[in-house]
This record gives sequence, structure tokens and C-alpha cells, in this order.
Amino acid sequence: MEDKKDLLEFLEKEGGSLMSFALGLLKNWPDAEDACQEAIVQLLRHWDGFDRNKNLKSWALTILYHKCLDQLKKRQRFGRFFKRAAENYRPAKEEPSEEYIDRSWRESVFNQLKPKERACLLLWGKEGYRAEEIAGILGCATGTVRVHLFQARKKLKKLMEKGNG
Amino acid sequence: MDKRNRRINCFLIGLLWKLVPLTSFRCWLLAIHLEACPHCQQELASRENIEAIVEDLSNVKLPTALITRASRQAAVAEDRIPPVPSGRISIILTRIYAVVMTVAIFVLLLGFGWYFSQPGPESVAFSPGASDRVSSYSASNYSALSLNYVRAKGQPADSLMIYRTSEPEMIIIWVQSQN
Repeated sequence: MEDKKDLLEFLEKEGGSLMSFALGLLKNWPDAEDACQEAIVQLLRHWDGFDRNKNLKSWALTILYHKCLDQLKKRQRFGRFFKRAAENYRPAKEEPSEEYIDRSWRESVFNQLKPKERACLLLWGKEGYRAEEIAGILGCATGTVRVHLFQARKKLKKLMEKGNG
Repeated sequence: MDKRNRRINCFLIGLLWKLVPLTSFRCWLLAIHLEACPHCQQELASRENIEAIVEDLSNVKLPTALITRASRQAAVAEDRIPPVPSGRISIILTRIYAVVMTVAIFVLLLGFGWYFSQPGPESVAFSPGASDRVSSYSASNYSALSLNYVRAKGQPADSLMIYRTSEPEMIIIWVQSQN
């Protein structure tokens, strides 16, 4: 375990961003936890083969991104029934608070984007990565990331204007 | 006028973006116009907008129990994983497998080719020839072959028999005509 000290320190420090990335993609806490756990298992297992000159956070995000995609595929298999049940769940006889409405609006705006667009936006807007770095993390061409980013930003702006207007 | 031209330009680029959903083409549109045009950039959500939307995600923390759980799982999984052959051996094994599969596929393809190139025992090609009069005769003994029109001594044949012989490539056609 001694040799994995650096990795565990990294997880303690950057675990929040990993979890928020998974949560942003999967929109659901238990799924995000599962994806994170699987990603950490893989990080620990392949830690010895990791090139220390490379960016550890990018590596971790790449693994986590693929685990999130796996979770999304798994979820698709369960069908729409469980999804609807989970999304429509709200305690009865309670007036929704302003905070709840605001939060659910923001969530709904963000959730209308495709997973790849959400991933690009999160990495660009929240983590501050450039298109080239995002392409490295997601495993696609820089041009593709630029296109996704442009499309997602445009869609988001439109949705925001619609929500405010 | 300049502003109007720019608007038309933006509209055309937007139209092309919608009409051609090719990533490389869209990338080119981004490079020539969209990333530089201030008007088009105004239509995009900024970093600040995104940060405001994902504000809730900033306070998220990774549960400590999750790291412990994952470490335990990784340790158990490492014990269970069978020893992987070293790099060189696995490469050799992969190559052997690839060669064997290639040979097998090649032999199968050759076999199929040979099989389909053989003429079947029952297949008999026959062209009846041009005629303006059609009379129908059919063989009673050999049903795989039928002749629509046969001339004998310059006249349409009155009766026709087709016999199959023991030789697979030989049939006998018996034609009768009355003068």
C-alpha cells in the first residue's frame, strides 16, 4: 500500500472533482458512486504501470469517463420505467421550495444535453481544460471536442434564455 | 452595410451547420467563422454561465468509505486475477493464433470456392433456339428438362421423349415427326 500513497493522496485531494464529474454525467448519486468506485479500483490496479510523467488527473478522468459510459449503458438496459419513477419522485403534500425549483431547473437544463456534450462542458467550464486536453481525456479528436463544445454551449444558452424569458 | 453582410454571413454559416452534420465540415466552419465572430460567440453560454449551472457540483466530496471499499476490492481482485503471461509470450501466442485463424479462413474460402465452382449433377443448360411458333412438349421421363419447340426435318416435331442415361452428363432426346 506504501507505493500507492501518492495515488491515495491524489484521491483525497481531487476526489471531489472526480465525483462531481461523474455526478454531472450520470445525474444520480448511487450511479456516480459506483462509477467512481470502479474507476478507483482500476486506478489502484494499474498504478504500477502508470507513467509518472503524465497527468494523473487526466488519466483518472479518462478512466472515470469510460466507467460513466458503462453505467449509462447499464442504465439503458433497465428501461424507462425506473428512470421515470426516480425522476418523478418527490415527497407528497409539500410545496416545492424556491431553492428546489431553481435547482431542478438548472438540473433539467443541463440534463437536456447529450453525455458527451455534458462531459465536454464539465471539463471545459468547471475544470478549465482546453479542447486538446479534453480530446485526450475523452479519447477523440480535438475537432470533435470543439464541435461538441460549441453545440453544447449554444444549446445551453438557448435553454437558459427560454428559462429566463 | 458591413453589419448587414456579417449578419448574412452568420446566417449562412448557421444554415450550413444545420444542413451538413459532418464533424470535419463543422470543424472547418468553426475555424473560418464561428470561433472568431463576436456575434456568433454571443449566442454561446460562457464559462461563468456553466459554473453557475453546475454550482451544486462544486461542493461534492468523494466519500472516504468509497476509497477504502475500492482499495479492498482492488486487493481482492488482484489475488483472483490469474497470472498474465509476460509480454513477449503473449505476443507470440497472439501471432500464432492470428496465423492459425488466417490459414483456417483461407482454407474455408478455398473450399467454398471449389464447391460452388463444381457443376451440379442435375444442371443441364439448354437453349431452345429462336422460333415464331411455340408448341409445348414436356419430357415425361426427365422432369428437370423441358423443351418448348423442336423441329424435325424442317417441321415441328409431333412427339418428344427425353431419357436420362446412367452417364450423368448425357441425356437422349427422342423426336418423332410424320411426313
